[in-house]
Amino acid sequence: MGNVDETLFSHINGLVGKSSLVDSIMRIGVNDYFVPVCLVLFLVFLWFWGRDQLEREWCQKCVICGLIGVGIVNGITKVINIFYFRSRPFQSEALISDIPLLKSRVSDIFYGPTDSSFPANAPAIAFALATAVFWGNKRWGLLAYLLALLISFARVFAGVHYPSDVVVGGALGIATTYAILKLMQLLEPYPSKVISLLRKIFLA
Amino acid sequence: MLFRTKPLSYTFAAVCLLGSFGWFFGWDDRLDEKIMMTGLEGGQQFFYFALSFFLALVSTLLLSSLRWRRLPPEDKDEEGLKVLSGKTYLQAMRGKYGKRR
Repeated sequence: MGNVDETLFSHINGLVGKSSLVDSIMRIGVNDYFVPVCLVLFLVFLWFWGRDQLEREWCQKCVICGLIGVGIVNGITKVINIFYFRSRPFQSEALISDIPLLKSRVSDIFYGPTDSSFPANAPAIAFALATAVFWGNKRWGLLAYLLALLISFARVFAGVHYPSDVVVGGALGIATTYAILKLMQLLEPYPSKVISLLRKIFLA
Repeated sequence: MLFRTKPLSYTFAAVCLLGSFGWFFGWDDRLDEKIMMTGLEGGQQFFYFALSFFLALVSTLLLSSLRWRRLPPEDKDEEGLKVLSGKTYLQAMRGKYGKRR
């Protein structure tokens, strides 16, 4: 598994510097601002979306689940980071000896974080939000998943995560939001009461 | 909420969005230098997500209330966001919770 991970990493990271257009797209996709802000905007749109009261209420519940999902998946990754530390690819001596340009490739695309690489936090958050958007609106959800894929791929491209980091992070994000959505359905009518309270102050 | 016609609302929203993205990533060498130096941690990201979502909602409601403050409110006694198609946020709150005469 380790070898597959490192081989895949080498192939993806080897694309750095091949095309200036791809490098520019990855620099926008990899940073901590572009994809997260776009996904939050999807949530704002979703909050106001809905052809009727029922549909709007469902979308608003999805937004709430997405926000709770982000908080929980953040906590899960923090706990995993405490018990298991995996250094970043650009800190691995074995990879640096295989790919001498690795460190300079990272600094060309992104800064070099030094916290644990596994699981990837940004893809976890991105997929948690995208799942909430998908459940509210399938078409927007697909776009949101594309953005989540972009940040995940860009993190490997930039050399700050192994492919397995982003796959596990993404899976955690999807599973967390999905579990919260299912839990919300079990907890009815309480989530509806929260929305009803927000409706009384014209916020939902 | 800020404009009465949908095309104008969508155009305004698109200009605001593209303008703010352009300003953030294009200004002050941010994409080439500042973003390359440091980033946001997961906890910080979550805090800013929640804060930005709340601020976006509140500022839109307040701006639309200011924009339409002189408009006579439609007489609807409903709840929820739909009411805001005929009243400003402040009018709706005053109508529901203000002193009854």
